[in-house]
Amino acid sequence: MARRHVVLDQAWWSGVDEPGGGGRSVGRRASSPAADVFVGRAAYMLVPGRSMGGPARLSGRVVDVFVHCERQGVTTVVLAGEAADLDTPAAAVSRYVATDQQAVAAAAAVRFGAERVHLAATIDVAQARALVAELPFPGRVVVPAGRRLRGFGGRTARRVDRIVPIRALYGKIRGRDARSRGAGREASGLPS
Amino acid sequence: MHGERSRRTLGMCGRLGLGEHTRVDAMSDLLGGVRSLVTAPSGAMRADAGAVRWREPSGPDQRLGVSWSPCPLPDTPPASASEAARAHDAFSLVVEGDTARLQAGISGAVPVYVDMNDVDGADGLHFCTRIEPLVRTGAPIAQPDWNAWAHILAAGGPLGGRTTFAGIRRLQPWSRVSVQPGAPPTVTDGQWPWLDITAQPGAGVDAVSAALAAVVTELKSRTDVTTLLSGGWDSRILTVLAARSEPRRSAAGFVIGASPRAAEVPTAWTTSSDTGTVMEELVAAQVAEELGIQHEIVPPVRDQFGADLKQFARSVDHQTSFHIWLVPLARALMGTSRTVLDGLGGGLFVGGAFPDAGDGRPLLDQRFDRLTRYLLGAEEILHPRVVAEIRDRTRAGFEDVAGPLVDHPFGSTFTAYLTRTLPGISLAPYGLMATAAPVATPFLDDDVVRAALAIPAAEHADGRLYPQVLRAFSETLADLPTAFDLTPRRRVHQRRVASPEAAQVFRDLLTRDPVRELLAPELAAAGLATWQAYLDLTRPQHLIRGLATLALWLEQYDDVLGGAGIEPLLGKA
Repeated sequence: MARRHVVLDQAWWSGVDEPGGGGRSVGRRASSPAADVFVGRAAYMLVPGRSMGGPARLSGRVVDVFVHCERQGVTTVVLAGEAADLDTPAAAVSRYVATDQQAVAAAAAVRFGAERVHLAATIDVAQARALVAELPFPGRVVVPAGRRLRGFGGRTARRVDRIVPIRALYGKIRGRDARSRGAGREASGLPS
Repeated sequence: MHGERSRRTLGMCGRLGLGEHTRVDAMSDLLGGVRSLVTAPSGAMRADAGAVRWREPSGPDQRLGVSWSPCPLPDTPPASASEAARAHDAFSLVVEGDTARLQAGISGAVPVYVDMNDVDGADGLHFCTRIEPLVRTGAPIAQPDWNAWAHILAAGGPLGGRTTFAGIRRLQPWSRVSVQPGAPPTVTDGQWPWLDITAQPGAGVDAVSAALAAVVTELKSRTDVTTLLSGGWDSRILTVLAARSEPRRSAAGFVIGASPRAAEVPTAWTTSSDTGTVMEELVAAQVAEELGIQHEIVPPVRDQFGADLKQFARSVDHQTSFHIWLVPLARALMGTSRTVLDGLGGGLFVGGAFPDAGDGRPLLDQRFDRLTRYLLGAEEILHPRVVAEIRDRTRAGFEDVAGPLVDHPFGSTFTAYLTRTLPGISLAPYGLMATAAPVATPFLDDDVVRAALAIPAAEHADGRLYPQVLRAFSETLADLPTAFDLTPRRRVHQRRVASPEAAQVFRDLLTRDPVRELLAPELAAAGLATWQAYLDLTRPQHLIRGLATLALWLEQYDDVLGGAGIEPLLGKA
């Protein structure tokens, strides 16, 4: 079965396909209906690098769709046609990198870690289906519903203050995947 | 009174009391060469960019003072050391005839260390903004403070003004040290005015908004600013204020146009907090877009983890391992002349962070467990004897600080401030970032704290004051969810601190002698995947970071520690 994906193409994020265009969000909300419709049930969002006409900045619909993917667990993959594509804000917030250049892959591995980089036969978005099929990265993860939104539908307990016996979290830690249950469940960036 | 301003940002050192200048000169060299501002028989001070020298010519004994801060002070400082401490959170040395005294800032967030091992010597007391120059110019053999190390491992920073070395003490908020001939030094730690602030009937957030606006406006009138921008409230408020165009007023108070500095649009800087999400960067981008300011995201470099760890440990004098993730931003900002605005203290004094759990247990127990939550299940990381030892030592130090605060209306706030913010978190802006650029922390301004604490503690709960504070400046950003609000329960991004590269760095550091003795035997023998798995969880990660900091400290000071072993942390005398 083909892996569902969407390509963050310029026509969408610049808004030229919309009557009125502009690409800016209307107000600032916890969710973006436009991003929701655009991403749909895709497991991967491919983000062309700047050299391929991708976004140079995180603004308007670009940031909205990244927020949507982050909340929905959609896997984001930046397509780096050249090393400079690794310097963009979109690369900084993408989960993985795909490139068809050996040198770019090497530079990306130094910066992001080898397990986050894939050297592909091609990153031409016209062949996105084939690219997505060969990606070694996991697709969309199911994000539990009911996340707190203080001031946006009810206040819930602050997770950082909850003390859970550590053995309950990692009692079976040895041999398990670091990304499995319990991984990263506590916030390091506590308020001062 | 007149003032003069120096230009570089390296720190400050000096001597209190009669003595030779040799050691002060040596410390100055180790800081990178700071200029002489006072060279008097009873006191000396060398300082950098943030210093202002002042003199009061009245009276038979001229009073000579130098005030210093990590961000440039006004050309005309207040009339006294206590006023400098209150209005600008500045540290001061005052020399008056053959007596001299130090005055710490009102927040205590800016670290200044005093070598109290000198108390009985004939060469005065020496002080410095860094520990290493004091150690390198002091006695040939320096003694570790193992209580401080227990605190660092269990709580994140040394409590009660201790440091990693016995006898070298960090000045506490509003503390004073006086020296006069023929008498031992006098240290006054009490009478901190913030503990006397009481809630005012009818106090509201407008006063907090106004105080924050005033302090940022005043800063912008004398220095360009730039801001660290996360996905949270504190940095959002500071960025909004930094980006605001300030109306320029005539002498009569009329608005006559935009200030010349209004054209100076600040850049906001963001990096990954390495908690498995990029929501901080994304929400920061939304804020920057809304304000129309330049936004720079500086991602961490995987390959540089080991270098970042070492740089962080050294810049905070090996006293904490909180906020190692901030190093990429310090690198990016290295050498800027703009003052970096940091949100230190906002979470506590405005946001109501670290409230009591209200579970019926004694408050001191609740607060201690909160502070040392890293010890829950710590036997999987540390040798069981180490867990018991550092818990006991930390409890003793904690009770000294937190005991008197049990019944205070803001007891949980001040306990967290004195046992977590000051010993640990404050070193991110004032240890790490201050090595790169001038730094200011507007949420710790005296007027801001007074306005915030005038509002009863219960009204601070759950950060509910933040949107109200921000609404005075931006309705849109007051309604924009924070990264914390939006972050999903499952965080899917690889954390650099749990990467194979980082795990290798930690395992190499911690499995060397003598630190290896402190490890749980199973972890010492475990493979890299196990280390990665533990590093992906906050509590074990904290313990591992702490042990790594100890390992780096032992390496850094091997030549002055005289072979001191780590046995005290194992409960051995």
